[in-house]
Amino acid sequence: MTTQTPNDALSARNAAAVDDAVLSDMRPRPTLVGNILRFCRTKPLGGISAAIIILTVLAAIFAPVIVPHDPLDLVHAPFVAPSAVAWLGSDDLGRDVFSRVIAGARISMYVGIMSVLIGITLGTAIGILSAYVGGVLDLTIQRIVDALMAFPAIIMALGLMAALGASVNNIVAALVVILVPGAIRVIRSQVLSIKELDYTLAAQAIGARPWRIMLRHILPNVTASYIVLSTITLGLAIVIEASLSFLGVGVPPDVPTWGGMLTEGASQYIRNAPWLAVFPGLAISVIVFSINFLGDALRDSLDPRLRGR
Amino acid sequence: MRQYAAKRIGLFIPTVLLVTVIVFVVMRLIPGDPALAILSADDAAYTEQELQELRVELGTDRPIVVQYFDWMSGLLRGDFGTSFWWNGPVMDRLGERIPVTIELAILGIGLAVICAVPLGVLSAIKPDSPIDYASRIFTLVGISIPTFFSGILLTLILIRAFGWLPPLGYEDIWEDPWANIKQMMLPALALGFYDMAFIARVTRSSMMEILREDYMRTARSKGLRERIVLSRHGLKNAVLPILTISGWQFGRLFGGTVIIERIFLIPGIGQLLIDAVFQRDFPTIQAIIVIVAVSIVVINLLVDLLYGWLDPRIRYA
Repeated sequence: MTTQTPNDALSARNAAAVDDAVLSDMRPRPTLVGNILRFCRTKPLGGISAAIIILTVLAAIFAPVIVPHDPLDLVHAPFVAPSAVAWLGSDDLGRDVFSRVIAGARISMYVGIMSVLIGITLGTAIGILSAYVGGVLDLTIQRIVDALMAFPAIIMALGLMAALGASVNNIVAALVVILVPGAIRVIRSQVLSIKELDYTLAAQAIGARPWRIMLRHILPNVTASYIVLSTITLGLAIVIEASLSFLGVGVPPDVPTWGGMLTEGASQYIRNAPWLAVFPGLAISVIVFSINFLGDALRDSLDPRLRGR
Repeated sequence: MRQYAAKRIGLFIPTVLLVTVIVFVVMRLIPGDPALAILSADDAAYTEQELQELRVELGTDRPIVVQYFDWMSGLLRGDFGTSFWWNGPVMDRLGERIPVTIELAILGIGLAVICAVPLGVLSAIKPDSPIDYASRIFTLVGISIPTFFSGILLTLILIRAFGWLPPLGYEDIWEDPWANIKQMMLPALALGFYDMAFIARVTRSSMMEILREDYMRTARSKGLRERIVLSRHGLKNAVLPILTISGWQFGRLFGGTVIIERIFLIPGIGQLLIDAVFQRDFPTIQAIIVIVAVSIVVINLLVDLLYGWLDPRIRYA
């Protein structure tokens, strides 16, 4: 399309609305690309957030290629302020802060995405089972969920890290334990209502087996919640990983992480070299902010039932 | 109300029991034998007999179920076991640290509520105004900044803007209340920052819902002043969800104290927990986690009971 006056845009939109109404039955099923484009049009901020998240994931994957310096090498003088040479300055040993921030994305993204994938999937499976089977199983699971939810995330994580020992995969394990109960609760409450809907009852009436009903009739109807839950809890997972590294009980200290960099930056150097703490802190805040924003936008457009939760 | 309370307390007891079981099981995930860990700590030499004696002393030679009931009966008597690290009852050190953390948490949630409620109400009564947009962005930023970064940022802002930093460390509130408050204000603000943003968002949405109610129009049309309409008819009804959320957040706040105590060098149970994690002092870790989790279950119970008492609709739901 060439230049557009506001009027043209308006009439184009009206025409599109008419098209929507008339052609909705004849249209091919919406494609993935079409869906993504529509999401970006209706929720521009959500689209920007998604772009930031994808960029961060890409930066994490390709970190070894992108970083201007090895994050562990002493390439500058100590405490160089941010400049053209060292974009985000250098730390107490002379390591490049920009390279370390990029490298730090690796741990955050790996831990966040792994724990969310495992945790929310497990929570969804247990939630569906608990709600569909009901009875004693449901009661038992719900009491355990109640008890697990009594532990503040950080405190539970600290206890698990003490018991399991510090390593990246143990952080993932600890986060799975933390994320599962919340997912069970949300999915279970949805399945309780899906279970009473006509199509589930119809499937039961024609004699479908329980596992078939759970997989073919219930699971597809909680996918929206699954996606929204995964997005929202990703922010939580990243913050907890950063907190653990900040406290020094997460990843071994020689691996650059955002939380670990904050500890170093915050302790003695906050007065004279604030960039040491500010940039990793900003990285965490921006990514968590984007994730929260995307989560809100996805919730609004995918699943209105979740609104306000 | 009695029936509602009975039902709610009936849920409370199994939850507390399960909390203790979970803590106990998690602490038994530790690979290896605690007695062996203690004896071989500094590569010290030990005999098989010493190992056996220590196992008997720690009680780890007996079946796990017996160990659990032993530990539980101790809990009920306020005995949290003996620390691996300083060889005294865990309770001795916990006793002096718990009040510090409680003070920090109460100040944190207090500051959060005091700032959040006016912000949320202002935002709700003038939707889509500049104030509303500013507060919505502010609160969205607020829930995205992790506790440790807000602590660091606040410190940085104070240093840059005023060239001043409140003294770190801790002065007992009963000995020097003024010094204590001066030291606790900044940590409490950093601790409550997330909760302030969260409560402000809840206040806004709760207030906006109330503003659409018929009785608000009635109150206005009978000629009440706007201030009275908003405070008596509006806020009073919006306060219930705010109260519930604040109660829940108060529990969550205990998690945040771990980090804030670390940054601001406050000797509360959070610091003790981290030290214990580094020293692998399991009785102390176990005691702190149980105390925090049970307190949260109790707080949630109280919030639910209060809610049921204030809003009769809940009791019959």
